Amino acid sequence: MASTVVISKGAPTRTVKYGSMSRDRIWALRWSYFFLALFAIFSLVPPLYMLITSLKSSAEISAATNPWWVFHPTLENYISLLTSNQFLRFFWNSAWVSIVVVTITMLISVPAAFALARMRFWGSATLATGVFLTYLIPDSLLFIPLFKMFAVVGDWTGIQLINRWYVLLLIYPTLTVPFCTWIMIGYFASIPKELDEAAIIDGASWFQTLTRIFIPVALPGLIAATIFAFTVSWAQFLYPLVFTTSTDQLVLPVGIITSLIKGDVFNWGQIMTGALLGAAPPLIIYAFLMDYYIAGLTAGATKG
Amino acid sequence: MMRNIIAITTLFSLIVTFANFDIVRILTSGGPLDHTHIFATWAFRIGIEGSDIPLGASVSLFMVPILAIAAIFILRDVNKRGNEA
Repeated sequence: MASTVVISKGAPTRTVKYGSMSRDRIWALRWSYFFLALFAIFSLVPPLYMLITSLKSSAEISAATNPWWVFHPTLENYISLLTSNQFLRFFWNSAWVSIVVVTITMLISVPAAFALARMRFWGSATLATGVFLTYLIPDSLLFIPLFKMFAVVGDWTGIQLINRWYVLLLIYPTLTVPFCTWIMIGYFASIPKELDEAAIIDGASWFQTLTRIFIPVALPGLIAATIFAFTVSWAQFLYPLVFTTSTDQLVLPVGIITSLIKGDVFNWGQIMTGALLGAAPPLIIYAFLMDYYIAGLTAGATKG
Repeated sequence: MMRNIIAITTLFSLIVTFANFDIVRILTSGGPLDHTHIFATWAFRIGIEGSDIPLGASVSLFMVPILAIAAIFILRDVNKRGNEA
């Protein structure tokens, strides 16, 4: 590493430094902030444009004015969406599906990860690898077989699953459970063995070790997995598009696409408003859980 | 030290991009005269919209060997370097 510190014989002196950092590090910091700003602009311009467009009336969107400025701000898009039963129905379906899927995912993946990380049973390492490999299978590979499967189940048992929102409760965990289990295996494996040895010495059962030791210590990982599961099930597009068609069963992303685009007519103002309102819940949840996340990170398990 | 993480991230983004559906569907949905289809959107067009389920399934099944080869090579390398990721 290039250092600007020169130690001469005799009394050690220092060359000029800026603050506590050497010149190299200052430049590295400047460049990283430069690229950070670049990427921040790159990823924040589309939401900004969404906000700008959502405040315009249809006439102003199609008018040939500066698209980056709102001349006559109006809330009519928000009002018409938030008072339409259809949109609220989409929102409700989305929220309900996401919450139930997150619950199911956590109930499955936390005990599974605990078992795979700590209980050494025959084939547990292979099973952990298998969980990881399951996540590598993309959803666009599975939707047609799943569609056929649910159709056959519907024929045999008479249980109508296609075109019902609750079919998504069965499908989404196939995306979320492997990844969350994988994250949690990593987190649980990083917890020092001494902690569960101490718990066992104190007479804790496996279940108590999980609930009293592992879940509190691995809370940051747990929250990361929760955020992931929620985001995936909130933003999933392919499965609801395939499995649900009637307007009272749709979730938000598909609902926006199918109800606000009529043939070639794009109702841009309402599309942007719907997208903005749809992007809000994950953002809010993320903002709230972020404090928790950092607090959990800095808690420190083996101090003292 | 970072190589395993980089390799796995590469594999993930390769698979996600290759099997992408949402973006192509929304931007062009196969586009003018079916010129911008990728495997996933073509399978959707045939299998669900055209309700020819066997043909659609075989279209999407064509992704498997391509992705499997990439996955095998990358994961074999990761395995060889040891389990630090």
